[in-house]
Amino acid sequence: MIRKAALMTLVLAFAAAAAAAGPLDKTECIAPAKPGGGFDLTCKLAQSSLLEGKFVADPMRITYMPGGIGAVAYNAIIAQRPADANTIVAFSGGSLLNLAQGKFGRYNENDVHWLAAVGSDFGAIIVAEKSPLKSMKDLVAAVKADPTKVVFGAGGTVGSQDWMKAALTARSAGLDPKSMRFVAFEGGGEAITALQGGHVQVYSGDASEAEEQMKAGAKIRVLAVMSDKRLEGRLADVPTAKEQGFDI
Amino acid sequence: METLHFLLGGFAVALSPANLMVAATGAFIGTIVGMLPGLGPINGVAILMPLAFALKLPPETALILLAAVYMGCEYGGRISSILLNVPGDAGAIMTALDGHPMAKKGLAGVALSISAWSSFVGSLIATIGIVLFAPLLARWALAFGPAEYFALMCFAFACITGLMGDAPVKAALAAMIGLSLSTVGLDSNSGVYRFTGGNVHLSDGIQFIVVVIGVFSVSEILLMLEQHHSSSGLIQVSGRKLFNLKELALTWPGTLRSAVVGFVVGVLPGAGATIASAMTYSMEKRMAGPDGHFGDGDIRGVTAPEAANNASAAGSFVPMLTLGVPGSGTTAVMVGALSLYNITPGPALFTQNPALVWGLIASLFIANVMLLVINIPMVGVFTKVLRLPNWTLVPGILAVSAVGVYSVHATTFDLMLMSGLGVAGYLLRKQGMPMAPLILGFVLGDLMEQNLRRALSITNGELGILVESPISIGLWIGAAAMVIVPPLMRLRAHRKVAAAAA
Repeated sequence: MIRKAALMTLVLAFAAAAAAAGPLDKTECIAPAKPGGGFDLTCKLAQSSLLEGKFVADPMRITYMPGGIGAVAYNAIIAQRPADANTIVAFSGGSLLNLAQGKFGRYNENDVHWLAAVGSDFGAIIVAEKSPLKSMKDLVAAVKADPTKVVFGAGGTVGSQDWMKAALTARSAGLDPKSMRFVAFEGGGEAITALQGGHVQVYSGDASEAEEQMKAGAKIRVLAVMSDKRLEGRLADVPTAKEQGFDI
Repeated sequence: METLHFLLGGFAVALSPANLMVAATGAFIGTIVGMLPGLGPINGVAILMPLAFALKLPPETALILLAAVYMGCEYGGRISSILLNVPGDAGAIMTALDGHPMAKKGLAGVALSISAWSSFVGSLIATIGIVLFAPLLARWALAFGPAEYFALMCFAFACITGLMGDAPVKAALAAMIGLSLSTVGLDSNSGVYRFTGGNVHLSDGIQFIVVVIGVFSVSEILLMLEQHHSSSGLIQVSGRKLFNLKELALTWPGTLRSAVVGFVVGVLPGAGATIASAMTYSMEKRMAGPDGHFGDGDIRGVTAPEAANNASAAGSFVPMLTLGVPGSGTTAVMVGALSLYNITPGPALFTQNPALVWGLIASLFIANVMLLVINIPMVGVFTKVLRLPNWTLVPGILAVSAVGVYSVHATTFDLMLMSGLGVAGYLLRKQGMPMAPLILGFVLGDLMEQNLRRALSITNGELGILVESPISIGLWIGAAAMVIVPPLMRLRAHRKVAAAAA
């Protein structure tokens, strides 16, 4: 079984020194996607916790640098801004996977400082509110009937963590992951917009993203969360994939 | 009702003392930049954009500044058109045709005041147009998927090349260069470096600001040093300063018509103030018929293009705010400015960042009133600036540009790239290649590629999806019309002239 939780991680450029006395100023957190996705959330978590703990003088600035689930930000922070000591980059298990696969170009994991894991998140299968799919069973049946009619959107490319979630779902239902239609967006925010517009039918993203977006009024529904137990809060009514008979 | 509520919220943002001051400053700077021959709204916005960022202005304040500069330029261009017979910016070319003859007849004051008035009416109508149509379009924008976006961008490029009048091929080439520049850097789908030449500084692509400053500001500086304009032809403003009611009544219908046409042209992606003012000028000329004396100081020939160029400037905010696709070269630069602030213009902007959107719209109303006030009584101040030789501006522009470029990434590589692009831009402009399509190509390139890839991955490479929905079909037909119709029209006009001569 593959670990389901996506780690939210923070990264610092290698040349930078993190140790400093007193509150830091001009801090910045780079979210390597467009606003509204999981990276954004990671940065906002760092922002609020650092401010509450009085570690920073002003609220940390959040910068968005979309491209390749962190690839562009990774290259930028190492090549262009090695001297920015107070800049951190949000990272996820998904970006880690791409880094390991060499999709980040010439740099590897030794070029940065890995600072801290901020939290963990669980995968989620999300559809539009008006979608006819009500459960995982509906989804699998629809994919079985015609894989070209059920397009998966995700915040990353084929091989990424979001793709893994979709592929695992397909495999647990006895389908060939290669027959799936899969579209890569720049972060979960964009994918959810496309979901609401009906351009993709399913989004295999993260539970926290879905929760944030629903809070902001997005018309979406979560079919399943990929955790061992049901989550708390807004998603408490959403059954886990396991409950619905899919061991992912 | 909801719109009114949001608009009031917008006024609350725009009326804060800091934003009011910024709008006034922007309006003033814009008028000067627009008036100076050679410097147009793109230059004004491109020079001030990095400065606003370096000053750490909040995003809505920065956008208000840039929008005020944009509107101010459309006002300012007329001053040098009328007094010098040298258009201050491209949108004011038509104003010179009748404005300068009017000034020669001793009616400079009248021409300046009535054109300020019609600029005001044009902006006002177009801003009301934004309030009415932008929220509608934003709601509709959810229907735009990858395929529709791709078609929309093709439509934008068709508009640029089809409407660029005399040099469609050069405009198309410039757009291609822009598209090519946008492919440099790490491909986010596969992790492959494209066209970086192994240079680490290019690994995350060419920075937008470097391209804009290079091809606009640096090349402009080189052009300025080369061509000196003299202020010897400057006409003194004398006699009556303000238009009278008879003149107002004569121009009123044409001003309203031109404002509406200007707004519609502005909303089309890629078509801007230059085209709007040329269209309305010839429209008014035709409608006036034999009792017009266009070309010889007809007052309607001053008001129509001025109303249109302001209206189209405001109109070009509509596609930028709702779809994230800029309606003009200047708004393309603003999209880049917003991305410095991590704001992606698009359908989500209206719901996620209403303070920014409605603050901007409200500030357009406010800046417009300020501009009217600045431009009627204070016009004498601006004419003094026209006496300065152009080259005195060069050091200032260069310093501000360089600081702006350096402040984004703090690498000297960007400065070198800026200079290189500046020289390349200068050479291209010497050959008569327009730079606005290049910038649009650069801004849209990445979006276009990503959306094409997404559309094709939905269907597994089947091209049919690109022409599936009614929206994309409409856009493709529009694009085809934009490419085919203008040359045919030109051909017909050409034949007519030939027939008349024979």
